Parts: sequence; structure tokens; C-alpha cells
Amino acid sequence: MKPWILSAPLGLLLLAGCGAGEKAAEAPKEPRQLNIYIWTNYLPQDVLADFEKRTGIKTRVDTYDSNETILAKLQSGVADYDIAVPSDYMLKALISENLVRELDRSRLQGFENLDPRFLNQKFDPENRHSIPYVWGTAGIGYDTTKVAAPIDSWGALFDPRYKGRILMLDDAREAFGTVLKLQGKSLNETDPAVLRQVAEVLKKQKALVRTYNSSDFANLLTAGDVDVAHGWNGEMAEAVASSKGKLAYVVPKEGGTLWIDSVVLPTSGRNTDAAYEFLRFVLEPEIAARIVNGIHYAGANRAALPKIDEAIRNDPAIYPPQEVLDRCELLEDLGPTTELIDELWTEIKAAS
Amino acid sequence: MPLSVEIRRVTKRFSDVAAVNEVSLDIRRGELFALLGPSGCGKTTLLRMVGGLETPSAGTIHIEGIDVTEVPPHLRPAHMVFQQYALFPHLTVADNVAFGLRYKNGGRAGWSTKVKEALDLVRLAGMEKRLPHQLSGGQRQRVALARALVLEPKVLLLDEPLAALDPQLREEVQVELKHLQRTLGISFLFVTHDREEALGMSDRVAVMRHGRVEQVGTPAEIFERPATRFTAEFLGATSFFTAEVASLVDGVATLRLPAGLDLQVPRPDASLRPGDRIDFVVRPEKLRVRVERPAEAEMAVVPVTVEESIYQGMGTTWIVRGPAGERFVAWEQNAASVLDEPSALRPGGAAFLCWHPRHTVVLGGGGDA
Amino acid sequence: MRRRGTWLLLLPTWLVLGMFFLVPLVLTLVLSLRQRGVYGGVAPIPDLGAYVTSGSFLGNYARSFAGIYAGIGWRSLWMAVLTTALTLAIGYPVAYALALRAPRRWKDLLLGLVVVPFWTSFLIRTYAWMFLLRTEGLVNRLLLGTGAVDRPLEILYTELAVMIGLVYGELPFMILPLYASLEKLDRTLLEAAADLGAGRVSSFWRVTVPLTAPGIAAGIVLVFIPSLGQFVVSDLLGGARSMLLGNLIQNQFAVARNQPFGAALAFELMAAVLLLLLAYAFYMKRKGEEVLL
Ligand SMILES: Nc1ncnc2c1ncn2[C@@H]1O[C@H](COP(=O)(O)OP(=O)(O)OP(=O)(O)O)[C@@H](O)[C@H]1O
Ligand SMILES: [Mg+2]
Repeated sequence: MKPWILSAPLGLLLLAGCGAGEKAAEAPKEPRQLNIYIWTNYLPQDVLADFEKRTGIKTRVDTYDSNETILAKLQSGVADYDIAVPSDYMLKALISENLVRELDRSRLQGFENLDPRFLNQKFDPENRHSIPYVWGTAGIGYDTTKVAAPIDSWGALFDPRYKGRILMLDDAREAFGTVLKLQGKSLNETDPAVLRQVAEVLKKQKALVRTYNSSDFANLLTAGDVDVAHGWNGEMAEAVASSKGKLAYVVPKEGGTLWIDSVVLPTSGRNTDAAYEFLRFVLEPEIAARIVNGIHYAGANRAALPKIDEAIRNDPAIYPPQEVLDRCELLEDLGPTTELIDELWTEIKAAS
Repeated sequence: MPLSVEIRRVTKRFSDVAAVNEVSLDIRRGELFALLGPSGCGKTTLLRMVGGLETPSAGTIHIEGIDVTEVPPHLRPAHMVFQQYALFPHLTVADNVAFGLRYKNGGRAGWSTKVKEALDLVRLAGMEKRLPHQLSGGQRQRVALARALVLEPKVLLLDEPLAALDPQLREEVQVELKHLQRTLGISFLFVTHDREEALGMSDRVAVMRHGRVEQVGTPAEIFERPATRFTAEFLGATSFFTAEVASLVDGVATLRLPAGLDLQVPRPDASLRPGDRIDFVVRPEKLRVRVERPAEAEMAVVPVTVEESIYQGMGTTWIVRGPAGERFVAWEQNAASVLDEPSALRPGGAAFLCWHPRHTVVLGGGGDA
Repeated sequence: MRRRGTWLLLLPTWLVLGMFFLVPLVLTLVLSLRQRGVYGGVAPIPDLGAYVTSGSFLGNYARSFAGIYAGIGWRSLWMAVLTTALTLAIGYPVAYALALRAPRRWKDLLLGLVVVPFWTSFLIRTYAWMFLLRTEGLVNRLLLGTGAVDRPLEILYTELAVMIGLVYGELPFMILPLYASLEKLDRTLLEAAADLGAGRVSSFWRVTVPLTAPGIAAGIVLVFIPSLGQFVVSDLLGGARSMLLGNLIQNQFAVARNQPFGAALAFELMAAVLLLLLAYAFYMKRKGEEVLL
């Protein structure tokens, strides 16, 4: 929800910040443009600046904090983004709605750098439309000084002891996922009866929740506004690392979400050449490593691994051990059930 | 008999400026009293202090023998008719008039009778339901009067009551106000900068200047016997003379003008001493301009040069220059038609300015206007 | 002849009104009568006749009156009424002091201070409130520091925070029209009231309030309408927990992708606003005041 509001001023700020220095240097050439639509905290400022400097392409960055927002924006037909970074299940939906281009592999020098573990996934077999960017998990970040014992279960998010100190991701699939996992079900459950019952649980949980937030969850935890926060690992890991042991991140024992975010070229984009330049840029091991170092999310670029900071590479919150990954599940596109989830999520959010 | 209003050494300062400066005045019961003076002389400020809308910086004010200096406006037996009337635009005529009644003792029951009486008094019966913007200027003023009078004040304060009216209407309202005041028998204190208005309406006038009272008297007194050059000028006299007191014999002063002319003046100011240099004034309608030196021996005569004549129908104004170039103005009624009897006087020609010595008004101090 | 001339003169007005008001309105209406597709957008209508006769075209409107959404409508209405009442209660004394009490040379400065917040975007100002109200924010640190409370107050992400944000944001829109009408108020009328016996309170209710009624009406309209459609404040300061009508509509377009339902809600909101504006215009007409908005 926030990105809509956020994206305009942020984009302007970025534009102002980047534009000022460049303009004088290369006045005569018509500057090329690249419109990037990406998650909040997903592209380090210095990496973007380097891209502009090297290619002479001016970038405009808008941000979002839920996959549903990307779909709404691209569906509306008014957005002209050249680059977007959806997650797995949403990528599938975008492909079936014809909202992203097929990629020309011959223009993707560096594709071979990618980790094969993240290629050829169900959501885009043979990676005809996407290249994996970063991946991670969803779990719980918490303040160890405010909880009785270390948290290891999604149940903490439904524990009345933490009433008013709980943060939930403002994200339908992730929120449903917490309950489904608690009940030992798949994240990709499509039985309407089950989903309705899950929605009832989430409605009841609302009384315990301080806020729904997908863009600022780690900061709110750090600032002490909440004690138990549902969130994605990268930002959580960063917060944990700088908390001197006060904060912790865990993928609950019931299992969590594994997600892979991929770069795609929306069909509505008009600067395809610039978009390919951007893809080649982020495929470079050097650049991919800098991105991971900057955003603390695990990268899908195998060749970049040696260049990644030791602390990050060895952080189990960022690069989880195999046994954790084994508990995790990818979110999948639910097809017709999407509508039901949207409706139920609206009801949950609307409930008082 | 107690006085209606007693103003004792009242001063009002706005930051550093004294808008009203040590003013003392007595207004008698049943008197129509005018405050006359040029713009900015402090008339409104003085009136507002009597009404309680300003607090004096120093001095006291009594109304009907009671010290009201610190009393808020609504507790004083004085009510105000504002310059632009200040009618409440959202209330009907009847509601405007009834506005103050609820703050009076006595029940709601009597209101409608009182409102009706007040409106009858100002001849506005039948207009009860109108809103102020549906009334003429004169009608509005009468609503303002009724609104104040319905509260039965001991003193009615009026700030330039005629200023907002058409000239034709003014005379009519003058008469009406005067009539109203006689009927009610209460005192009216009103402000004006129009001398005709002050002379024509009031029993007594206070001439104000720079926050001070220059002279108090009946209209005739201030008109015929101005005490200072300022009062004389403000009432339309512009011919001033300087002279030396040559002698004082049996209440007759001999004044010597610079041109060497002697002038016998009866009833001189008691404080005159032989050898004093004095100023005197003669009102324009008392001055004559003649081609021939007048035959009467007692007439005062000054040789002059005619500068200009201004024909004004009812009369003619003559502007002439004295021996030392002084400027004098005479006004003469055209008793006969100038077509039948054209004047022999010509601009540039020599003539004589003459008047009867008893019209000579010796001025006191403060003549530095 | 004359009539045609007038019509031609008004043509640009009609064009602008048509393009920016009527066309979007009609588009919204049409959209609101359809149904969403699986992923969003609109579903095709296979049989128009059946669609109409079955009443499906009113489905979104019917849904909008279902308990949960009607509840949001009522709450939004209540919040808007409360915001308007509070801004009036706070704004009137402020405007009064500015117009009638402040020394002349301070007036421009003080009035400027009322307007200064407009120099920063509303969003940034709302973020500032988040920093003030959060658990370890300035307000709490101050309260804890002075010993006024012994545990931090949880203000952020509550209805109270939403109310604070709404009142804060809308206050200038109440103060400015009130100030304008109070400034116009003829002060001698207050003196006249005092002279006729009215005390301060009495003259306030009998003179000042009736004469500034147009300013009050304008302020109410200016505050009530945006509060009714507000979504930024309830999102940021309410923690996306308590939805208002504005959030629901925004949510339908931006996240839930049920554009037809969002359009139906938006259309209902616009109808309510239009009714309010008509009532306002009617009131001002009757008072013989100019309708400025
Ligand atoms: N509220 C005030 N603050 C400061 N100065 C004032 C105030 N009211 C009056 N004055 C000053 O006091 C002096 C007298 O003002 P006042 O209104 O009494 O004059 P006035 O004789 O009624 O003049 P006018 O014929 O123009 O109405 C003026 O110099 C005026 O500028
Ligand atoms: Mg005056």
C-alpha cells in the first residue's frame, strides 16, 4: 500500500540526486531513459549511480512493497516501466497475463554466471522471461530482550502475550502462509473452505497486531515500535547484524516461504535497449556482489559469491543452511483462487 | 441640578500620542451638545470614552453624578449611535432594536411593546421584518436611533450622525433629531466636523483642536466671539489684523494699526494693557469693500487693493490686499441684483475695507494656527 | 442571438468541465457496473442481456452495502465528522485570535505560520508525526523524561494517531476561511453589541458566529470532504490496520485489483460529496453569499 504514496517523492528525490551532476557533463546528447520499478531497499544508490555513469542512461526508480501492486500497476496500462522485479508466483501471473516480454538470450552476456539452483523454476521454465535477482525467506524477527524464550514458531504472531507488539507483513500471500504453515498445510492451498477459515484466524489476530507493514518492518523492530515482526530475511539480517545481539531472525520450525525475485521486462516499457544494458550490468559478478553487500539479500549469481563480504556470506539469516531451505516452500500462482485471496485479504484489512 | 456628563481632566494616549489631552467638559441635563473640530482632533475618542468603548489614560468621567470611568459600556446609562450605524446585518429591524433588551431587567413580555414604541418614535412602524440592507440610509439611521433609545439612556452619544446621509436629507434629519431630543428631554452628545451642523443643532458647542478643548459656548458665542484664531478660522473668519493698544479710556480701547490708523473698540478684553500687541479678527460678512471712503466717522477703514471678486449668487466674496500685502476676505450680500447695480470695483483697483468697530474681535492666545 | 453568444463564451468552461469532470465520472460509473477478471482488470460480459436482467451490474453496489464495507463507510463518516468538529473547535479560536486579537505587525507572520506547512509535502509531514508518536519517539521521550508517564504511550498506529494526523492536516483548511470571514467582520458591530449590553460570550454567539457562518460553512466543506476520502493518514499513522473509505478504494485499485468494486465505492463517495456541495451552495445562495470554492 505504501509504495504508491512513497514512490512519487522517492523517485523525485532519486531523480534530483542523480540528474544534477550529469546534466552539465553531457548536455548535447539526448539522454536515454530507463524506468525501474523495484521493491523498496532493493538497489543500492551507488550501484545505480555507477550504471548511469557508465551507460549515460538516466534512471527513474519507483518502488512498491507487494507483488499485487506490480500486477495492478502493469495491468492499469498507464505505467511504462522498463524493468520490474516480481516474485515467483506473481511472475507466473504476469506471464500468463502477457505483461512481460520474452528475453533474447543472445543479448544476455553473463547469464552463465547464475546459480543453476534458481533457474528453470516452475514459475518460468527455461527462464524465457526472467533472470533471478535475489532470493530469501520469510520468517520472524524479534527483540530477544522482550520475549520469554527464543521464538521458533509462527505461533508467536498469534500469541496474546505480544498483543500490540506484533507486526505483520502487509502482504496477502505471506499472511495466509503463516496460518497455513501453522496448520501444517501448503502455502499454495486452494481449498476455499480452508482459505476462509484461515481468513477468520487472521481477522481475530488483528486485535494483537500493531501494524501491517512491508516496507519498514525491520526499522520498526529496531526502533522498538514492535517486538515480534513478520518479515523478509534481508532487511531483518541487516537489523540483526547491527543490533549487537538484541534482535534475532528465525525461519519457524513449521517452515516458511522461500522466494525468488526475478528481473523482467514489462511489455509496456519503451526502452528495451537500455533495459538489456541494465540486465547485463546486474549479471556482472562484480555488480551482483555489490548489490548483495548493499541490500543484504542473497544473490542468485554464483560467480559473485567470492566477492561478497565474508560476514554476509556466512550469515545464516541471509544464506540459510540447507536444512532450513528444506523446510521452506515456494509460493505459486493460484490461478482462479487469486480472486478469492484478494477478496478475503480486503475483508481482513477492512475488519475492525 | 446634577450634570448629565462631567468630564474631568481626561487624557487618552495611544502609544505616545495624546488623542485627547486634559479635557474637562460639563454637559447639562437635556442639553444638545456638539463636539466640533477638524479630522483627527480627538472627538470620536472622547465620545467613545464617555460610552465606555475606550478607557481614559487619566482623568474621570461621571454620568448622572456616578463615576463611570471604570464601568463597562453596557452598564452605563449612555448608548451610542455609531457613525455607520453598525446595524446587525443578519437581524431584522425589530431584532436589531430588541437586541439590548434582554440585558435589561424585566421580562421578555414587555419587549414587543417597547420595540413598537421605539419604532413609532422614529417613524419606522411597519418595517419590523426588513433586513438592514433593505433600508435607505435615513431609515437605517433611525433604526440605530431606535436601538439605542429603546434602552432609555440618560445620554445618547452620536458619532457624526449626519455624515453618511445625502445633503438633502441632512437638513431634514437635523430638525428631526433636535425634535426628538426635545421630546425625550435627555442629553445628546454628538460629534461633527461640520460647523453648520454644530451651529444649527446644538445648545452648546465645544471646539476641539489637537486633543484639547479650544472654546466652549453657545453657537452664537463661538461664532461671533471666537476666543482664538483657530476657532475663528474654523468658523470661517479669515481676515486677521495685528495692532497695538494705544490707550484705554472708559472701556473703549484705541487700537493702532501698522498703517497708522486708529480704531476705537468698545468692550475690550479686560486683560488688555496699553502698549500690548494684539491680534483681532473681523468676520467676512461684517466687512465692506467700497470705492469711496465711507462718510461715517466711527467706521474703521483700511485702504486696500482689490485682488479678486467671486460671484456666488446670494452674495459676492471679495479678496483684497492691505497696505502691507495682508490678505482680507469680505462677503457682501447681493441685496440688489448685480445686473441692475453692477459694482464699480475692479480687480487691481484701489478701494477701502471698512467695518463697524464693534465687530472687532480681539483674540486671545493660541492663535498660532 | 444573445443566448448563442453566451453559450459560445461558456464553451471552454464546458470543455474543461467535461474533460476533467464528466468524462472521468462516466468512465467510473461504467467501470463500476462490471466485474473483475481473475487477475484483475474486467471480466468480459458474455451475454449483456442476461447480465442486465440478472441484476449483476449492480453487484458491486450491493456488495458495498454489506456489513463489513458499510461499517467502513460509517466509520469514515464518523471520523470525518469528528475531524471537522475538532478542527472547527481548534480552528475557530485560532482564527479569532489571528483576525481580531493579534497585533497588526504580527498578523502576517502568524498567518504565514499557518500556511508554512504547505511548503512541505503532506506525506513528509505525516512521516514527521510518525517519528513524534512512535514508542521511542520524541513525545514519549519527553513524557518519560519529565516523569509524566512511567511506560511509553502507544499512540502510533492507533485511531488516536489517525485523528491527530487528520486534524493536523486539515486544520489550515479550517483556519483560512474562518480567518477570512472574521477579518471581514465589522468590529464596530462588536462594539455596538457591547454598548447594547452584551457581554463577550453573548456577543460571540449572537453576532460573531452568525456573521461568520459563511466562513464556518466553507471550512466545514473544505475539511469534511477531504477527510472523507483520506487514506494516507490512516495508512501511515493507523498502521494500515483501520481502513477508511479512502483506503478501501485505494486498496481495490492498487493491491486487490478489483477495479469495478473500487469504482463503485468511489462513485458512492463522489455522490455523497456532490450532495454535500449542493447543500452548501444552496445554503450560501439563501444567505445571499457568493459561493466560493
Ligand atoms: N485605536 C487607536 N489607536 C491609535 N491611535 C488612534 C486610535 N484611535 C484614534 N487614534 C488617533 O487619535 C487621534 C484622534 O482620533 P479620533 O478618531 O478621536 O479623531 P476624530 O476627531 O474623531 O477625527 P475624524 O473627524 O476624522 O473622525 C487621531 O490622531 C487618531 O489617529
Ligand atoms: Mg471620528
